[in-house]
Amino acid sequence: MTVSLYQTGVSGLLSAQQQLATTGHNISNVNTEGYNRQRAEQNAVVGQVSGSNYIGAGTYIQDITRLYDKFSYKEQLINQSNLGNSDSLHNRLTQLDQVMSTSGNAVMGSLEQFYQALNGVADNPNDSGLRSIVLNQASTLSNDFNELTSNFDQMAKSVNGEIEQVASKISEISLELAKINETILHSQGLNQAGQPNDLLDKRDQLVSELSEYTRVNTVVDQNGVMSVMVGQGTTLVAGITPLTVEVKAGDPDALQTELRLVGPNSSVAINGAKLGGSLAASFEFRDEHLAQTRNEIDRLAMAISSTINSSQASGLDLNAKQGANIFTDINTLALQQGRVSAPASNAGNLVAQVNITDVSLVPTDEFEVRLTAGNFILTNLTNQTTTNLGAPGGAGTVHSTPLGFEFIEGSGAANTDDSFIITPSKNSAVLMKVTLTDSDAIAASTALEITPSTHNVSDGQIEITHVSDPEGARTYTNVTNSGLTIDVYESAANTFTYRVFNTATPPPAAPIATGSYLSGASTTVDLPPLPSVPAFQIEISGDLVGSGANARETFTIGDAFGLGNGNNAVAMAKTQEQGVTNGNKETFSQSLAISTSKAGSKASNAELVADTAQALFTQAFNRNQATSGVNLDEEAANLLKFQQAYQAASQIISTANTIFDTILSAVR
Amino acid sequence: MRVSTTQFYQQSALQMSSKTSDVNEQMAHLSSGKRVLTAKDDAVQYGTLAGYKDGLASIEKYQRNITMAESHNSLQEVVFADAELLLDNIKQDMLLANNGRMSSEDLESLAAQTRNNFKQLLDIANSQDANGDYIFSGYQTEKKAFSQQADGSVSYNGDTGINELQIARNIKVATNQTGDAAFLKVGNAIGDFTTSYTTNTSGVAVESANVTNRNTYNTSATPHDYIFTFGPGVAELNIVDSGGTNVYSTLTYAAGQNITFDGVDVTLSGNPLPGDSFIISEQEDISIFETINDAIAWMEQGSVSTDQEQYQVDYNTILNQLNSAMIHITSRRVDSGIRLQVLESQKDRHLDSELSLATGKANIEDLDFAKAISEFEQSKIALQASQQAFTKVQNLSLFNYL
Repeated sequence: MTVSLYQTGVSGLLSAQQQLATTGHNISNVNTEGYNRQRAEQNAVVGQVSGSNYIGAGTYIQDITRLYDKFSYKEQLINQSNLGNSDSLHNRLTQLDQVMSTSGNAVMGSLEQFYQALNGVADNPNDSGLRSIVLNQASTLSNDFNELTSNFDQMAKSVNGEIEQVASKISEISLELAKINETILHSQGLNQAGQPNDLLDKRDQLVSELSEYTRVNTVVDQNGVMSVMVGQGTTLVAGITPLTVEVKAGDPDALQTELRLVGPNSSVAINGAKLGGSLAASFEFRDEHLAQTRNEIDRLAMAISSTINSSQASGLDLNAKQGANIFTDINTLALQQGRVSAPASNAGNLVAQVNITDVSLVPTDEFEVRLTAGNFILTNLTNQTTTNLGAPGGAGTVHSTPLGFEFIEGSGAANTDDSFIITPSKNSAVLMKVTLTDSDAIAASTALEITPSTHNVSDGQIEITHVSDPEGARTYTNVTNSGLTIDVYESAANTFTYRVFNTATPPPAAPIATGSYLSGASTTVDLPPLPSVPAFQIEISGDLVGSGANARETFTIGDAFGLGNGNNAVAMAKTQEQGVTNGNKETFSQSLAISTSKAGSKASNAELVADTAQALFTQAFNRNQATSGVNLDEEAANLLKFQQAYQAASQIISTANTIFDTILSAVR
Repeated sequence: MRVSTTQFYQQSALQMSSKTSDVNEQMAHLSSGKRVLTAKDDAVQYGTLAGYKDGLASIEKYQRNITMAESHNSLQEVVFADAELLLDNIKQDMLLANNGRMSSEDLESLAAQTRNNFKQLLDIANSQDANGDYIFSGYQTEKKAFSQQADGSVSYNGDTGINELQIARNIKVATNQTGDAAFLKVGNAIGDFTTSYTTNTSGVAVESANVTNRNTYNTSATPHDYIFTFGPGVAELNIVDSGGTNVYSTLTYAAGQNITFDGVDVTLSGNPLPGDSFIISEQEDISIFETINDAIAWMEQGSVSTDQEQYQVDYNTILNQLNSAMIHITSRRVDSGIRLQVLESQKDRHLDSELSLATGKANIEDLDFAKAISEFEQSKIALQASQQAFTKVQNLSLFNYL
């Protein structure tokens, strides 16, 4: 009996020791991340029969378990992924918003200055100081575009860097998880009853860390080995076999890096954007938001260059020459080829290029051209609409699209299923430079002007529209002819007949062009007429009645070139208010403002989402902590409790000792 | 619900950090005075704000253009005012010259004076602006507008170009007047023809000669010179065109009667006598310089004793033409004046738009300081409170009592 009392005491002592150890362990790990508090399950020892009574024999620690709620843990994992995703996206989009607001404002400012300088030249075309100011401002404008683009490049680089770091972190975690799984498996194999709580905690902590980077799902088999799946079911850790994640250069654009899952025997590509967590946010930011904004800025740069250049080309500079391009031509070979990229997986060797024909129609979407069933099919990668471009026709074949650009085949040939990615506005902002060096070459002067005769009686008018070759137009008017005269009169009811002729050889000599139009309509005449290449166009509109067949409404076209002629500069300055991009609806500053507000609203939305995700995560975390977290006050109370239990148990032992001494002294 | 120690610290840290970032953000707004620093601050209204800024920048651009256009047009107005004065002097001299008691020497000195005025007018017509550009040469601003030839006539070296500047979205204003419109294209006081008198014994003069039906006129033979011959009958008039064809004849010409032929309407003044004849030729516009030269030539004839009728007819023609020239110059001055008015009123309209745009912009962009400061105070207090709460509660631990 005393013996069993002794044992009982010792059992109590040992149990109290284990309890104290567990409590101590909990207290020491109060700040350990991912630590689930442990509790020693104490059970009473089954009583031993003694006569007709069961006498209890003490206590033992059945198991030290960790207090772990699988469901609230899973909830925490899900919310962690969401938080990782929305936080990362919010930060990146805020950065983009700031870049757009500051650098974008700089672009707006220098655009304003450029047009102001143009107005100065319009007032005083002969002043070389004012002209050089225009070129300076143009330089500032193109520099601002270059800088904005390099800011985008920086952001893309930093996102790529982050993707690489996260990928290597995931690989590390995967290796760690596999090791832990192996240890757990072996420890299970040794048939130990207890749970390796701290290993399990470590494993859960690793999975929790992983969930910030991607969505995570776990499955535990009967041996306690956990398999981990990321994203939409891709296995990262298969029991004790880890797979790693690698970053690979993208194809065809090397800077659009992709992820690959590398196993012991093979590697497979994974779609980063579907992984969830901060990785998905990085891919989404880089491939959608940043790319979209970059395309919009590129398109704006292209629109400005193209509009100013063609305005220049309609006028004459101080040396009576056609105005040369101020900005880089939007259709240089380098730019044309840069818009098409061919993945390395293409079997053929076609080199293609994209020529922009109408900036106002160019969209900011990306396209894919694929040779399928003998035809090039153009697919819009944003809304998946397709257009058939026709069959390949060898080098130089032009396939036009209704979107303001043409797909032109170069050297080589494409094989079936070859694809090409087309970004119509690519590189326009980074390659935008001022190519004009001589300020005299700013085309401020118009080439021709049209003067109505003082004898005209009606309300109509003739305008010179669309001068495509100002030098040729001037030569045609002054040299080939001695001025051009146009007369119009009402030849029949509501029908107006016009004649264009050389002023020096009036009818009955043959006119250069003649025709008629109906009341309320207008007509355009190309001059010189076919078969020559037209240099300019005139538009006749209104009811030009005239006073009779011999007294027609007369207009003369004459040379307008002069050092003091600033009318083309006025027309160039007016382009600031013309709608150009997006189907001639947005002016340049409107276009920029729209891009900036898009970035801002995305950032603002992301902030809301991030705030919500944070709140949800906090709730899930708190719920998890309610079960598994260590509360120091509770542990302090437990310390006292178990200390007392230990003291009491040791008292049992000393009592048992005393009893034994008493028996011994009784029989001596 | 059970609260773990970690949870407590995490929560407090999160709350304090969020309060700190609130305070930070508000400080940024307060120090810049703007509610909208980036598009994220108010994405919905950012587009409108950008539109206001754009409008304000446009108005600034237009105001600059208006200033430039004003300086050009003011200069022209001043120049035309000077020209008006000169023409008035010439006209006064011309009026004096018709006094029958003027001797040849007197007429000579009047002619000299008129010559001086002519030179000054030529000088005015070749005015240059502050940049050295000739203001009346059209587009050819580096070329002198008018130059006098050896024979005294004045030729125009510029062109007919008009420069314009954009002063509002759809309004352009011209900034120059061409020399030929200002000085060469003065309407002929008579109409569309000038007269050259072969024989004039009665003092008959062409009062008006206009093309009324251009269609018929253009069909007839060119050049359009018509020879009027009176006689041999008492009221006989024959008109023959340059090809020799008779286009009009009457035996009953009455003084002041309207003569119509070939789409031309002619009225004569005076009572023609048989033997009078003159030729009319097409000239719609007469240059001011030509008129003044005619006046000088007339004065230099000296005091004339023979052919007094023709002398008088010539005088009348020249005086009428001088009047016509003065009216023309005044109109050109009025043109500049009207443009200045347009510029002035557009300037006022721009100021009004500027005010409303600036107000709109301030409404969106500017910070309401009262509201912002009170929000800032709130955030500051919230931060302080959370910090204090943390310190107080963090001290509480059972271990302190063991």
